[in-house]
Amino acid sequence: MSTYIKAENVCVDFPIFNAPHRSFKKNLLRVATGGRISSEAGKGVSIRALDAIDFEVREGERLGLTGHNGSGKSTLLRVLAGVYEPTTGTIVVRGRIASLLDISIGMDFEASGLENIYLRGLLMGLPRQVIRSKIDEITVFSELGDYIEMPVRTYSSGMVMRLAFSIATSIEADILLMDEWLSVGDADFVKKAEDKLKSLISRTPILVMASHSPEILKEVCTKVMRLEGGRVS
Amino acid sequence: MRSVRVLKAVEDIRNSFLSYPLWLSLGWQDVKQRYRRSALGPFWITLSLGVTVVMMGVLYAKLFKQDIRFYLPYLATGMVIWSLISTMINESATVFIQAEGIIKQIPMPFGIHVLRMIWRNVIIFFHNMLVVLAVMVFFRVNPGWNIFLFPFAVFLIVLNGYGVGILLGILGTRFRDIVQIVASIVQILFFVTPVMWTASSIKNKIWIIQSNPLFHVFNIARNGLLGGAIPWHSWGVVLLMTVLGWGLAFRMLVRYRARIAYWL
Repeated sequence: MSTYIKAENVCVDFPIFNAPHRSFKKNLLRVATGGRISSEAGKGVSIRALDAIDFEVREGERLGLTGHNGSGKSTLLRVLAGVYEPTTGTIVVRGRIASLLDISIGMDFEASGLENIYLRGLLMGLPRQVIRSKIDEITVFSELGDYIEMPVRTYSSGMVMRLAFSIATSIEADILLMDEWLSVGDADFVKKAEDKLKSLISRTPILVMASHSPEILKEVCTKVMRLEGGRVS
Repeated sequence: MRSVRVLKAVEDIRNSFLSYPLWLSLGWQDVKQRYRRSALGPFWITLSLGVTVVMMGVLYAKLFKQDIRFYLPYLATGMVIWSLISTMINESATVFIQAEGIIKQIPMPFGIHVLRMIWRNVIIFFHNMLVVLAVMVFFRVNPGWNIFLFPFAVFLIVLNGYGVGILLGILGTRFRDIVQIVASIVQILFFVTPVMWTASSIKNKIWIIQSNPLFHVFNIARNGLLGGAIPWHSWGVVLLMTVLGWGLAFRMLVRYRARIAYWL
């Protein structure tokens, strides 16, 4: 069974409950960024964040997403992650997903580094034995040493990011989702982290990454999709 | 399309229970986090409840002209059960809002967030039970064989917590006023439910008290700890409530499961 992603006519509409209904004046003052704001009679205001998106990603492909702020990149990544089910259209994702969208999610600053490795691992759906087997690797890579036993609140912000990065990149999956290229730590660590990320990506059948940087997209991705106002442009 | 949604709701519930390593850890973490760096830890809950029960017990036994040997165990059991139920109801309304960070990053069964909330309250409940245990030993309360019914009563309360968690969780995410409404209703419930006062002290119009479903919940839970004739009709009411609550929660989950992330 091969890994692939197939999106057909995917639309995502966010209901906005506390937005004032659009007036004529607001109609004139159209903003250039963000999804299309619409209001149907009786249905309230909604924002069309993704509009009829079609694409396909096969094994070995690295898809780059680019576009302005609010063009729908992050929303599309979340649709792929399974967070948002499309309002209309279908999306088929075959393969295990690892989401590196927010690597410090679920971090408990009062808990120790070790406890956080377990918490984060469980959140990503790993069984305890698997997490235990990764602890040494994570501790060594993050260069935290004995600090791994200390509460995370005693860490510097760089150390927190190093731990979060080390945990997030220690998980193998078929599909990797990334919002911007991950770059953490001081000069030495940045290089090390980049190598680790690249080797992780090379082992992963599919990568979908959103980025503003044309250089990174060119270097990492095999194809690039440009979004504008929730549409492929 | 409907059958797909039903299937997904069933899977959500089933997988939420199967993900017990996750919600057991998260719930436990919640309790630890609340009391980290304090010497007594979660036993602060035990202590504060113990002090409340003793102070109120002595005062209200006089006010209600009750025998303290009867009233203190009655109040202790009432307060412990009340704190479990009321916290679960209150936290239900924000159960998905609290988990916004996780929900928006990692897809997982929504029931997990409810079970995490329930588990953390069950842990607190067991800490509180120490007060009940102490009071029961001190006043030599013998529940007899009824004690074996107590775990079932707690189980039913928790089972109801899951239904209520899904139901109020979805409503609270969509309508943010629900949190305030629920808080007010819970406060009123405290006064109309026999937590502090005894139902037997009211001579007529007993049906008004009996029409409160929480009356029956307290009835079965207290009966397990304090003994006495088994109130089968209350067991029936609570069972019926569980079935109805789950039915309603399931319908909500089928309809709105996919919308929860959108509403956050």
